This record gives sequence, structure tokens and C-alpha cells, in this order.
Amino acid sequence: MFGEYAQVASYFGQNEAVEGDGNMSYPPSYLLPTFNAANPWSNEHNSKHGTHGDFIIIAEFSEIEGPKPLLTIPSDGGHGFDHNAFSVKIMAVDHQTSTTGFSISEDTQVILTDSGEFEVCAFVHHFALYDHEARGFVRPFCMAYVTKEERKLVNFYEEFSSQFRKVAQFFKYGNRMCFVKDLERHSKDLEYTKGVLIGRFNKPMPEQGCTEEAIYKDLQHIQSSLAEIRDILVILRPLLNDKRLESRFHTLESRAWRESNKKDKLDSLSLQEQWFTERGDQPASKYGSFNDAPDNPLHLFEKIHAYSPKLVEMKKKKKFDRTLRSLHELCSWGAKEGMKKMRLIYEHFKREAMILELEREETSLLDPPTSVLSCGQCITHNFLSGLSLRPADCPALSFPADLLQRWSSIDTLEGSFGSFKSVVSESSLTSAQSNDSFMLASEGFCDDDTLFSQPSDVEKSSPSVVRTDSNLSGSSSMTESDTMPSVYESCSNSPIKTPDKTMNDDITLDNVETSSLEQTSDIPEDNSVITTESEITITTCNSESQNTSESDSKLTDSSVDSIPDRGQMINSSVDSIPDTGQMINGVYIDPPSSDKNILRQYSEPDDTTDTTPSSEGTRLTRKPRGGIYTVGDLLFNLRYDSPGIGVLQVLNKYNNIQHIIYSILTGRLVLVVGQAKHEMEVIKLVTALSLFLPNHRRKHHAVVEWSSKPFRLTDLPRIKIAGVCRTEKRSIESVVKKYCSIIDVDKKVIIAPTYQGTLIHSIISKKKCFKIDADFIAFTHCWFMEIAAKAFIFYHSFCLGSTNIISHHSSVACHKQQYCNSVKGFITKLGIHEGDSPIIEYFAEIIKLLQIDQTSLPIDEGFKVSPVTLSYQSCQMFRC
Amino acid sequence: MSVLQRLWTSSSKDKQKSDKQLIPDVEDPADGQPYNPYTEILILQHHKDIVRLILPIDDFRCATAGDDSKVVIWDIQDGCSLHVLSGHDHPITCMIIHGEIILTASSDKTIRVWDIFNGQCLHILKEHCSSVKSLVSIPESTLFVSGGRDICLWNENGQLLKTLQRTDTEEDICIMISINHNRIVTAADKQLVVFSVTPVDDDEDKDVNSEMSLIKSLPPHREVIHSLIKVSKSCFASGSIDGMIVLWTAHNLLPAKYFNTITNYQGADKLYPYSIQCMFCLQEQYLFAAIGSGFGIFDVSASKDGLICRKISAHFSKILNIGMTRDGSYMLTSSEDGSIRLWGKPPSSDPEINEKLNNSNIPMEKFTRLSSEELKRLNGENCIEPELLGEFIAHSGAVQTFVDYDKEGIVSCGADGLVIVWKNSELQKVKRNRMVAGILSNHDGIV
Repeated sequence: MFGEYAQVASYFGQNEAVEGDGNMSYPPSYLLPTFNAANPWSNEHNSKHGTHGDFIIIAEFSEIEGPKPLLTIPSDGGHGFDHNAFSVKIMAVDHQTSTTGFSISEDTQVILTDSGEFEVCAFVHHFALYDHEARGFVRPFCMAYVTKEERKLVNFYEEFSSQFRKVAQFFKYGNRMCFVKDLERHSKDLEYTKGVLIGRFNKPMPEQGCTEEAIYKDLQHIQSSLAEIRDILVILRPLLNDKRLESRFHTLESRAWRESNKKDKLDSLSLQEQWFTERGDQPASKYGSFNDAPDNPLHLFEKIHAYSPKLVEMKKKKKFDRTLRSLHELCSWGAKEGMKKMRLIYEHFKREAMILELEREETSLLDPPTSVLSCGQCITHNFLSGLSLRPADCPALSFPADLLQRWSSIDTLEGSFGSFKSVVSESSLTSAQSNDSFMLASEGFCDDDTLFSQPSDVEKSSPSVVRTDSNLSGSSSMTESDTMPSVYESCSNSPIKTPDKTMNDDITLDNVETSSLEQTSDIPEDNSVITTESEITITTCNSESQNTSESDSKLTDSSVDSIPDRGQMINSSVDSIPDTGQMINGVYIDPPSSDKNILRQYSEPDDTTDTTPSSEGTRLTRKPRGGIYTVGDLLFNLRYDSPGIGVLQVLNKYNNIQHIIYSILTGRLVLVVGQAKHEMEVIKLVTALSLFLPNHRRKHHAVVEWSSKPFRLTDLPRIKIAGVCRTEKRSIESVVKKYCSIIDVDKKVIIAPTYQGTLIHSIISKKKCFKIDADFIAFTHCWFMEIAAKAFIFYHSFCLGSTNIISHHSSVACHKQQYCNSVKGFITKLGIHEGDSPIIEYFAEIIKLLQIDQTSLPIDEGFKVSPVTLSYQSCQMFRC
Repeated sequence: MSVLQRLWTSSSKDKQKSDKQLIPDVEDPADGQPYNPYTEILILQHHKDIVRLILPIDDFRCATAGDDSKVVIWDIQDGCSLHVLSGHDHPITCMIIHGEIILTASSDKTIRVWDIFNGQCLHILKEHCSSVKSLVSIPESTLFVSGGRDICLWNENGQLLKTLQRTDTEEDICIMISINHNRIVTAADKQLVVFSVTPVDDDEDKDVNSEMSLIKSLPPHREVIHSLIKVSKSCFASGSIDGMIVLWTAHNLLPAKYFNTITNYQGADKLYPYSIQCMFCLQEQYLFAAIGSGFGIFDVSASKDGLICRKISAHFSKILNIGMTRDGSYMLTSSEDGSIRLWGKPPSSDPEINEKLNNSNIPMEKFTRLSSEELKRLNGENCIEPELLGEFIAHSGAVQTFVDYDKEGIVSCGADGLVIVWKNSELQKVKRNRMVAGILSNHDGIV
């Protein structure tokens, strides 16, 4: 706020006379000194908990006031933190290239580490917005993710970079739409004024005291202003070509219209967020609300009010007394979307770096999804981790799509390998492989299955094509592969750059090709596709660029001119990937899907409820993928009903619980029975015990906390743990009783097969070592990983190995005996107690069933029935 | 009133007690059922009412039908329902397979013809004027016969070729079997009647010339006939609820032998405790019969009464179906008490005998673990006694019937509307191992 000293002085100068009347009048709060709180992170308590106090701050370099904070996410983010001083710090980067006219400036991203005053680290993204009232039309802004953990920023740089880039894209695009609109309006004003002035010029009126000279001067001024506006529009208009964003804004606006028509009293659509300035208290803050004046920035698309031009005051100087427009006024819906996105970013990254890293590591275990073993809703192991099951893309194999949703960084890490593989496997090998992999298919199906003939097939394979392109280059610390870089982005990231860029956005040809491919396929008639090569070659022969002869503007101009070259370029890029390119063109020309991001279409099919065409936001929310959490994630947000809550209490309260855990780990149904008055106790038991449930995905409903309906046989394949209310009538079918283990809360007994192994004791014996559930849950998950490792060996060596060649004995009894003996022999070799071998077997069986389930041919009618293993093992009654 | 009631109930209780003294208790299976190989089930849900019929189509498919007037075709390997054949609006009473079509008879007075492969209804035969209760196809021809109040002859295109009217006093035909010489034996109440069908071969309009005529009415049983089976080429057997089994010669249609003749057959409260519900024949020689809640095995070729096995109380209530599985390794009985019981001999401690008998191809040897010579020496005095090896409990109502699918398991259906496939989990595990290995070896990720 260095720029304010002069203002303070002038303010008091002006008000000297007024001050005399004794009224305590204060200067506007933006002129008051801010209260300097102590550094919130200097005390010991907070520094221990690094997650405490991460926040996002948006600041602007106001031409009146200098660097000033605008808002934080969350609203109390960095409470007690000196936002002003920090804004000065982060805005103290002159990222603007000195320009002589209008230019398109680039964004920069930088990590700032402050070891002195603030002891924080910040990821700062600088960007500039346009405002026709501002000096040079440019308003510099920056947004910064501020955290104590440097490690977080460094390790997740790519994610930060790409996510903030998307936010900036929202802001800038919305801003550009507003700016263009403003300019158009302004040029209308000027034209109108010009007309008036010319009229005056023709019949001068002496009483007005206007000399011809003055009018002539004004006209000249108008003329140059018009020329300038024209130039700017020439540069900007071609950049407004992101149909996807536009349609998204349009949806928002039309939704707002509907809302405003419905209830005109409540003004819920105001753009105003909380600000540091006191403008929020003024009635003028209604500016930016939807029901406002027709020239409201929110009316981006509606054209109901014809614009009536105004007379422009020509002698106007730059006015520094009026407040500049807010971020939301500048960006319209873009700000709304950007803020939404930013909140998601905050929600995601506010967690500890450790958790984020855990999540990233474990997320890689989700692929391939068919071999994921999970316990208590947490991923435990992947039996085929890292193996590419690419031919699985053939139409017969359906994956739960949400399992494929992955982080962009992981894409990059594995990208080069995976993409190569995908190219090979998909373009050349698939036909051969698909035939092979249809071992279950009928002959007819095999023959009919031509490569890429079915739409679903294409949709599946195309994202990997895109990824291929962007990753073959080996560049891309900016992973744009997951969200299509819009054309503007690729333009601004073009190699022509000022050398002081801190951002490592060396997007290479391939990335741009990707985008061009995208664009051609999306909007075939839209010719404004820019490719880097054409830019470089055309800049020299560009004639139209005028006083604003900056390399950047040339670049954009050229892009308008160089349609033929671009066409070639596109062609060549298509040619370079012969099969897939054609395919993309063939498919994505159809308009309804053109607005959507291809990858997202594939990876988030259940987003249809959201009316926005593609909600990138969901990428950052922490919904469990495929119904499975990562351990880090689960531990970070344990809720009252997370599996395993209360487990310590249960273990300490109930004896002989190992028999029940054994039942759970071998897939035997466990029923917790109690009268209605014991409902809470039953639910607690069920929640605690569900920690041990293997293959437990959230959406599978294998756990029923409390049910007053009688438990029936048909529930057996689905439900694994259930709380059952004891009623006067029979609450469990007598048939089911034979195949389940029961904890009777009323009688304090457990009826279950006897556990004779050792594994479970090793975990129960640790119950005294842990004070809180979270620790014990974490320990249990480690323990699961050990068991899963044994099951892994069993799966690979025994189940997939040759040890199970069993002669076709006519006698089923002999067969059974032989199989059990060979299992026993193998398990003993693994160092597993015989009593634990059913656990290992069950774990392997889960994976086998998953794989068979998800790789078999989809059948139109009916669905598969999951088999239920019946154990005739006799149960015993234990006191608990 | 209450006193009288109490008196009456107490007296009936006493009566029951005295009955129980005669009848041995129903045994329970051994703890843990170590010799029961059926340890995995698939629960197939679609029917809304009692499922009464299971029709095996091939090694992996079966059709089930019941009182909800629907037929469902299942793949019993993974439990998929392949087709649902709906169209009847009354319970289905009989279902047979005839070449590549499925025929269903229903109480709605129609017969429907279905395509086995796509489940389409090909024809609806409406010529019956009362509910159709049984169907039988004529071997080595395209003809089939349906019975109810009348008896009709059809060809596979659904053309009615011949109708034989029966008198109103006669009961509806419930069971039909075909025996040699294109003859058909029908059972209606106590009465057995034999008809003859003469398909005309190598003729342009042969169907039109096909004839059906009554040959003979056999001497009636004392009570209602519930079971009628073909024993061999030369004979067939019928059983009625009085416990009587009659063996008839196929050629001259005379009774050859009577088994299980019981004088006081009605039992207490007219429950017919000796009723013959179901029979099957092994090696054309051994006749297995469900007798009340027990079962018996008769040697048809023996000179005397031929009883080689008698289990009086095998179940808690009446046995509805009896059959063999695994080429004679086990015998199964399904009952109204909701269970299926597995009978046989546990593997002996001597592995050599096991090996020898396991390699035997003769089902009866496998089942009894006796050699053929030893079997011949059996008579009424020294009986074989199959042991209870396991009990399948999953149905919550009477188990109507079951069908053996050898290695794929057993399909059973019950009054609870469920169809359950019973499988051997070890065999399934090995099968899954192979499937997974197959899936993975087809992926390039596996080196």
C-alpha cells in the first residue's frame, strides 16, 4: 500500500475544513493502516500442524493503491496473517514486459519461499486482466497458494501448475469476453460522439465557446482511440474461440435467468464475494448482482437491451479517485467458475503433504482396476499392479470408469511408457489381441468384432490417443493432456517468450498438436487454430500489425492470416498418427459431444447430473474412486461412520472377537443381533467390524448397519456384515443361521466357527498399544498389506501357476481332498498357520472373481450371480 | 368345549407318540459335513412363485418354470438368466424339450412352443378345452402328445393331428411316458391306459395320416398314481400313494411284479405315509423309490421281493424327488422339509479300495461300494444302508425337484421361488484359476 501515502495526505488536506466541526470522520478504510498481527506460524503449536492455515490469496496491483490483497480462500484464511505485506511480497515481481501498446501478456508461475518474515512458501500465479478503464487497459493480478509446507509445493508442482492454469483460464476468458464487449460499447460511444462533434463542427455555435481547433483536436483524439480499439479487437476476437467455456458460461447465465425469473426478491446471484475493502458495506456492492443494470457484466450473452450510445467526455483525464472494478466485474461468469475451481483446489491441497503423497502413491495401485484388493474401504494391494492390460480396451471388457480417473501427474510419470504401449497395442496389435482375449466369446462374436467398429470402443481408446500425443514429446511438466489446453493457452505458451519467465512451460510442438487435433475435431469449421510452427514462419511476413507491433500481437495476427498453413499443419499432425487421427475426426465431428472434453466424457460419465458440460471441479474432490479410499485419504477425514471407528472400544469390550474377525476375513456373513434398545451398540459394532471387511467398496452396500427386516437367504450374496433388530417374529431365516456368524448383543454371546490361526491374534494383541482409533486403523491397514502380500504369492504361484493341475478324477471326494492338500502344502510353505489358510484363499478368490466378473462378455439380459461359499463348519458359542 | 378340545388334542398327541416309537428318528448329518462336496451356491432369483419344474437343455443351460407362469432359461455356470419366456397366464404344469423347441403346458388350456435359442414364442396351441397337464414327445418322430381332459397328438409345427375324447367321469391325465413301439402310457388318478401312435413314414403328408388309438386299459391301482417311469425296453413301473409299485411288461402290458405291498396304507390321519412320490431306475435293474419320507431300493431282476435297501425316515417330511449324481457317487433326495440330502458311502480308509471303486464305471458299484457279485447276493435280510453324507439347506420351503449337472453341480428349485445351483467350491476354484490365467495370458502385460 505504498501508493497510498499521497492519497492519505490529500485526503486529510481536503478534509481539513470539515474536521473542525468535531465529528470524528475517518478516512476510507483502505487508507487506514492495517492491524499487524503477529506471524501466525511463529508459534510452536501451529508450526507442528502444517496443514493448519493453508490458504489461497488473490491480490492485485492496483494502479491507485499499489499491491493489495483482494480475498482469501477460505474467507478466514491466514487469520492474523499480514495479507497486505504478503501481497506486496508476491506482487513484487515485474512480470509485465514493457510494452508500447496493447499486447497479450503471459501468465507466470513461481514458487516463492519466504524464510524471513512469513516463513511460508507460496505458489504464485500471475496473470493480467483487461479493463478499459485501467491504465494501459491492463490490471495485474495474482493468486497464490500459501502454505507452510514447501514439500507440498515442490512435490505437487505439476498439479498446482495445471490447476491454477485452469483457474486463470476461467478468469481470463470471462474477462476477455467482458472486455471485448466493453470496447465495442465504447467504440459505439466514440462513433456517436464523433457524429455529434462533426455536427458541431459543421455549424459552430459561438455561445458554446468551442473553437474549431478544440473540436478538431477532439475528433483527432476520437479517431486515434477508435483505431486503437479496432486494433485491440482484432487481436482479441480470434481468441474468443473456446466453445466449451463459452457454453459453460452460457449455461450459468441462462440458469441465472431462470432463477431470477422465478424469485426476484432474493438476489442470490450476486457476484460479490467478501473483500478486504469496505466496498461490501456500501449499497454499491449490489453492483455485480444479476438483476442490475443492463450493462451488467453478467449479461454476457443476453441481448435484450439495445445499447444506446452516450456522449463521451473528451477532456477526461485518467481518474484515480474512483475505485476500479472488482475481479468479478471484470470476469463475469469466469470469476464465478474460477472461484469455484479455486475452492476445490484449496479443499484438495489443504491436506498434509504426507497425505497427498500417500494418495498419489496409492492411486497408482488402482490400475488395473480388476485386481485391486481392498479392505475396509481402503486400497490394500493390487495383484497385477503396473501391468498394462491394454487389450482390455476392446469392447467386451468394461471397466468401472471411475477407477480410471487418475491424477495428471501420474499420467505424466507413466505416460511415456504407457503411451508408447497404447500406440502399439491399439493401432497395430489390437485386432490380434482382441481375438485372443475372447476366449470366452462365441465364435460369431469374434468374427464380427472389427477394430474400432463400435462407438464405445472409440470412446475408450481416444483418450489414450490424446495422451500419446502429448507425452511422446517427453516434455510437459505442464500436463495438459488431461484437460485439453484451449487454443489461447497454447498460444500464450508459445516458444516466443521473454527470457525472464520463471515458469517452465515449454510446451512443445506435440502439445500444440494435441490441441489442434482437438480443435479440429471439436469445431471443424472454426479456423482459428494456432499451431506453433505456423506462428513462427508467418511472423515476418505479417503486414497488418500496426503500432502495437509486439511479437505477441504479430503472433496472434498471423494466426488469423495463416489459414492455409494451418490447414496443412493440421493435416500433417493428423497424418502423423494415421489410424487414430482419422478416427478422432470421424467421431468427434458430431456437435453434441464437441463441447465436451473427450477424456472427461470417458472418465466421469456420472457427471450428467451436473448441468455444466464438464465439471473439472470433480477432479479435485476427494470422492473415493471406485468406492475405494486410499489409506491416507481415509485417515485424513475419518468420520463417525468410517469403517473402523470405535474398533478399539469394541476390541476391549468384547472377548473372543477373533472368531468374528475370522468369519469376516473368510467371507462368512456376520450378523450383529440386538433388541431395538441396543441399536446404537449394534451400529457401533457393525461400523467397527467393517474395518476388517475385504473387498469392501463403498457403493457395494456390503454393510448394513441396522435392519429390522428379517434377514433372508437372498441377501447372502450381497451383504457381509449386518446389524439385525431382534423382533418377536423370526429376525433371521433359519436357513441363513447355518451360514452366518452371530454376535448377540442381548445375550452377550458369539456364535461362530472357531478360529485356530495366529494372524488375527497378532492384531488383537496390539489393542492396548494404541490410544485412538485412527492409529489402530492405520496399523490394521499395514497388517492387511502383510496378509495381502502372502495372498499375492498364493495368487501368482498357486492359482496362476502350474501347481493346481488336478486330474479329472471321477470322484469328487478325491478331488476335494487332493485340492485341499495341495493348498495346505503351499500355504504352509508360505509360513502361514493352517488355520489362516482360508483367509489367504479368500483374498485370492476375491481377486479372481473380480477379474472374471469384469472381463467377461456383457450379456444383454440378466446379470451374473456372485457365488456364495457355504461353510458347513460347525459353530461354537463363546461368551463375549 | 375347551375340555373336549384338550381331551382330543392329548389323545392325538398320545397317538403321535406311539407312532414315533415305531418310526426311527431322522438322523442329522455329521458335524461339519466333511464328505459333502457341494459347498458353493448360486442363488438365482427371478420367479415370483413356487418353482416346480426344471428342464435341462444342455450341459450348461436349464429352464425352470412354475406357478408364476413364466419360464426362465439360465446359464448355470455363472447364474445368468438368458431368457424369460412369458406368455402363459396360469401356472405351468409340464415342460419338455422336443428337438430345438421347448414345449410348455399350462392350466390356461394352452400349449406354447418356444425357440430354445432366442426364447421366442413360436406357436400357441389353443385346441385343448381344459387345462393341459402333461406332455410327452414321441421318440424318433416329430410328434408329441399332450394330455389333460382329452389327449391330443400334434406335430412340431403345432398342427393338431388327432384328438381322443375321454369320458367326463375319467380324471385328467397327469403323467404320460412313452414306451417301445410308439406306445404311450397315461396315468389318470388310479387308472393306467396305453395308447398307440402310428407315425407314417416317407409320405408326403405323413402327419395327416398319423394315427393315435387306445390299446388297453390296465388294471387300476388302489390309490392315485404319482409316479410312472420306464424301467427298461421291456418293462415300466408305476407307483401309487398306497405304497404299491407295479412292474409292467411293455410287450403284453401285464403286471409282472408287485413291490412294497402294504395293507394298512392310509396311516394315521390319512397321510399315506408310504406313498410313492418319485422313482428312478439305475442300470435297468435297480429301482429307487421315494416312499413317504423315506426311500427304498428294489432289485427288479431278483426272484424274491427284491428289496435291497429301505430307509424309513430319511427326511422330516415327504420326499418329492430322488436322483443320482456324479455317475452314481451320491444319491440325492429332496423333500418338503426344505432340504436336499446327500446319501452314499464315505471314502473308506483303505485308499486301494477307494481307487478301485472310483474307477468303476458301474454307478451302483460306486454308490454302494460293493462289487456286482456282492450286490447280487443282497436280499431282504442283508440290506445296504447308505449313509447321510450331507444336507443342503438353503430353500425355505419344499424343494420341488432338482436336476443333476454332474461337474457343474445340481440345480434345485423350491416353493420359495428360488432356483439354487449347488457347486463344488474346489472344482469352481480350479475353474476360476484357469479362467484368470486365460484372461491374463491374453494380455500383453504379462511377460
